[in-house]
Amino acid sequence: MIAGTTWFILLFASILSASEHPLKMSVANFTYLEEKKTYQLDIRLYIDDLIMATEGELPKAISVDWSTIAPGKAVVRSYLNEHLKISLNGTEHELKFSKMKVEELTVYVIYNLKSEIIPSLIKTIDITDTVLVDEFVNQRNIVHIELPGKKRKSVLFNRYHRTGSAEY
Amino acid sequence: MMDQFKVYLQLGFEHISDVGAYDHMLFIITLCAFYAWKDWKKILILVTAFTIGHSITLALSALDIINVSQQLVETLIPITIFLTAIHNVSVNRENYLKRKIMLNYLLALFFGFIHGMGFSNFFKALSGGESIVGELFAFNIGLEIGQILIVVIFFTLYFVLDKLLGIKDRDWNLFISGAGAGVSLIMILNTIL
Repeated sequence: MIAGTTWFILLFASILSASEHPLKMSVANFTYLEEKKTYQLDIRLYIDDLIMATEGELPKAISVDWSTIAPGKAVVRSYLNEHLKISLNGTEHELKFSKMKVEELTVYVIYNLKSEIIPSLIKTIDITDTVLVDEFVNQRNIVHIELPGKKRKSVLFNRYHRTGSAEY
Repeated sequence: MMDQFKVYLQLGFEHISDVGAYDHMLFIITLCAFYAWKDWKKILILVTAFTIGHSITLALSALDIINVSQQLVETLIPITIFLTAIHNVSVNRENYLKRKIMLNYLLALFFGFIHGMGFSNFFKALSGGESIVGELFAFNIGLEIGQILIVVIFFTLYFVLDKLLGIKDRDWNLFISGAGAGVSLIMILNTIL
């Protein structure tokens, strides 16, 4: 009886509640676009985490549609430019912001990277990914690397592992 | 540098062993509070029930059958912990352990289900519509390994305290369940207020 009543009250309350999600993570993909002869880095990260990182707090609302309050392009661009770096064979390359799309829970950003180094000549890829790691202690970032003719590799980042490499 | 399976396996293991995301750990400990270290077979069933819950979620998620509100899922997690703690102290342990099917198993199954559901929703959002079955499978294995580790540490501590101080099963249950109820109640209030 007590358990049943507790269920009812708390289930009802839960419908009205809002909470932060448990998974602190971003996923990026580094690929080569054969037709454009350019590299591409795309990244997805949660909108609410990005708001916390760029604005310091979340709106206090019972129910929030994150897609309507996502940070603007300039804010996202500035934040990511500071927290994502890529070097090919030891040379840092500029990541050029291409486009940003707001999805249901996430922000999806695409960067282009021009390089003279073709995929078959790449020996090492050094990545610095500090996206959200200072804001959230349990933040984990994954970068999947998929280049033509090379084995797919993944690099995991957190607050204590801010840089990582893939060697071929 | 790792392959994708290892990355998600590590993520799953780190998630359960992460003190910052202690809801999962709290549930496992509260669930185990009811048992003495001698009841390891029953604990194995509990862990299996949890795994089955996760697996069901995995299948439903892969087939795009479920799409439950994340807010609801997140609030259900501490509610499950709270109810488990109440259940632990409200039943007669000796009589209860003689039953073949116990409510605890269902709670473990349910918790596995809703916890897994929470993750599948968020993994999906990061996948950009691509299949996430492989990633979720690896993540769940990592979770299970971490879960078994927590159970082993918990019962090792219980075993040592039992041998050194002669702690009674009922006192241990009250102590751990009380802590579980208190912390989960705060978590519930945090999600509501």
